[in-house]
Amino acid sequence: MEETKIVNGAWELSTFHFPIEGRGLKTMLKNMKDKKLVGFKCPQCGMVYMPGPFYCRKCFIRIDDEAEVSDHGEIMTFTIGYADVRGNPLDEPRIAPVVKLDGCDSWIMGVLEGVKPEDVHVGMRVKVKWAEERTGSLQDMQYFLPE
Amino acid sequence: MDNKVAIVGFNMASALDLETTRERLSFDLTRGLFDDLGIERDDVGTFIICTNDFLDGRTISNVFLDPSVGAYMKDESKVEMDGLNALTYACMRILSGQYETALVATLALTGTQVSPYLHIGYTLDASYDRPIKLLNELSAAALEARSYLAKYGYSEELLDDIALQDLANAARNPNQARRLEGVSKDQIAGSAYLYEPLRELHCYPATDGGCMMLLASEKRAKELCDKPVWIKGIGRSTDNYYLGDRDLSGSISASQAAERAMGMAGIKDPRKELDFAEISSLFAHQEPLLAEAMGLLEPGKAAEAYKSGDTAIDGKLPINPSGGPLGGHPICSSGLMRAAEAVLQLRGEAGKNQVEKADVALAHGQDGVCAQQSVVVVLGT
Amino acid sequence: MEDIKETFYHTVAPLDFGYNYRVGTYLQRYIDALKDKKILGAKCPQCGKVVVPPRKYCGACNKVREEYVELSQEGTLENYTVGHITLEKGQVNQAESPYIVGMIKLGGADNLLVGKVAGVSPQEVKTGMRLKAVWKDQTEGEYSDLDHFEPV
Repeated sequence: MEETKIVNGAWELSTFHFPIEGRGLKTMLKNMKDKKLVGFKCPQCGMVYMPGPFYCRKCFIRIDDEAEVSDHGEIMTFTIGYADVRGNPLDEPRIAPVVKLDGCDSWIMGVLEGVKPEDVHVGMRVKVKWAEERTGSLQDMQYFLPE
Repeated sequence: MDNKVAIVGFNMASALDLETTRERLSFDLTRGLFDDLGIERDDVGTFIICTNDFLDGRTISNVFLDPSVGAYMKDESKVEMDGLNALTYACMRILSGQYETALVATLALTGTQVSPYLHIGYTLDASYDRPIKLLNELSAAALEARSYLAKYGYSEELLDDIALQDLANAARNPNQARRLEGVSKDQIAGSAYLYEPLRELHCYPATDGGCMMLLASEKRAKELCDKPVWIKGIGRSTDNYYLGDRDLSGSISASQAAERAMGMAGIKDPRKELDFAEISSLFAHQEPLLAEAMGLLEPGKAAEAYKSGDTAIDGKLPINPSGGPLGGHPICSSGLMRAAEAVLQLRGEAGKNQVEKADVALAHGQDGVCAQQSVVVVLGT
Repeated sequence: MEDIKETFYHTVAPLDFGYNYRVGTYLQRYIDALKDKKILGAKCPQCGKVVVPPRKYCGACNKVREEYVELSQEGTLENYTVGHITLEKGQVNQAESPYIVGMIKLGGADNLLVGKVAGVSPQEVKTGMRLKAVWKDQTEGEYSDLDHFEPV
């Protein structure tokens, strides 16, 4: 098949701006300064989500009751990364667990330190390692450590 | 098509800036509709979401909107393009006998978050039409406008007359986004040229909006509301893409779609049997162009029809009594909003825009460059 | 009741997709002909209609167009619009000066070619005018080799 001219049909969309619901995220970040994790609880079904959405997807009602969630929890699943998103090898393998914090129904992703890859298992108990200086950003929850 | 599927309710919002997010808009409209009808999301059999991934800024956008339209863990499917395509799909699902109710959910935040012109801009063929840098939504519409005006020797003043009627109707309609109180012909004729002959007020405004509509089977419709509006016929057609190959003074897609819909509805003489029509005319000239193509206006008589008020709310065959898309055009919702406005009329709830006799109506939706695709729905009480 | 907008996060999504398209055999022949200051169309073996720029499939007949046809450099302006704005990346801006976008029926073609019309003022341009193609002096094998059309 012959090679023909190539034209660029790029979609240049850098003028795209996206407002997203922030109340639940802002509540969570504000409390992280005090080493507290706060989500929203649905008064009808009792589900606790963090960061809190403005509605419960099961009951389809608006919610904004705050509920505190523990900074300890259990690993529901995990993966171990040996390369970054571009395929470059990492210096150390990176353990990415999905953690169900006690008292919370939604799961949270993070990075696990302080344990060898071969010792990680589903069901393992972990806790949040808080940053020394907290500013109310996602970096305040630095990583997870074994309990 | 006998009374098998009905529209039992809808909820819509439209503004130049709704100050909302996609999730919040879809939740607010759906929750409001469920409250009006006294149902919960478990009462809905299936969900059809109709938004445009490109305009939402993410692919498979429906999976993000599922929870906020109540479709969490429920049967849901997706249609892009105009909202009337989603209505067609929902209607087909109910006719299959598998579902009693279907929610059609459409929205776009093209007033504030993304330019609506990008939609047609990136539809254009990348290997030729885009590189020559001459074609875009507005220049294509202007070429269509001139071709139409030249066909019967109409003057540009016709565009002002059409826009005046639409904008005045929109000003009376609380559901519209662009409501210019006291709009005058001078104001329209004085607005800036974009691509001649189209001026700013001949074109639709960039709008945020959404429309959620519940369809139900015959049995459920009578349980859910007092005044179901029956879908009598649906027709669709898609024309050639290439602008240079099309006769821009008419619309084959609208003609064929209308023929199919009216055939299904058993309508032989649209001008006699239809009480009014809601047409997705994104530019002033498209209103008579599409109306003529669908057999609603006598070809060549548009200028007279507008001057003598035949197409006005109290005219012989009112067209766009709601004001039409010149009052607001949220991209995927537009056609569905035309159906929603028709439902209001058919129920006698259109307030200051109410046409006197409202028993049978036609709603039209379009997508693509210069209405490349048309969808026509015939509704009746 | 707090202002709803206070709860929104605004993210700017840098979404630039890089799609590259091969123009295909037919447009490549068209571009090669532009280099020689010629305009090519393609003819359907069934309905006999010639389209420009040339394309492979005749949708109406469901046939492959096999034959290339050289078209006349002259044609009639069948439709046009005068642009007062430019529309780039979805943004509307005032154009420096009004320009004419035309749809031209070249001799030998059955469809209309979109092209820029110059050498006539926006006030004087009308449908029905006879136009001829004007080329760049040094052609490069690009769409821009065919610069514009002007009155004969």
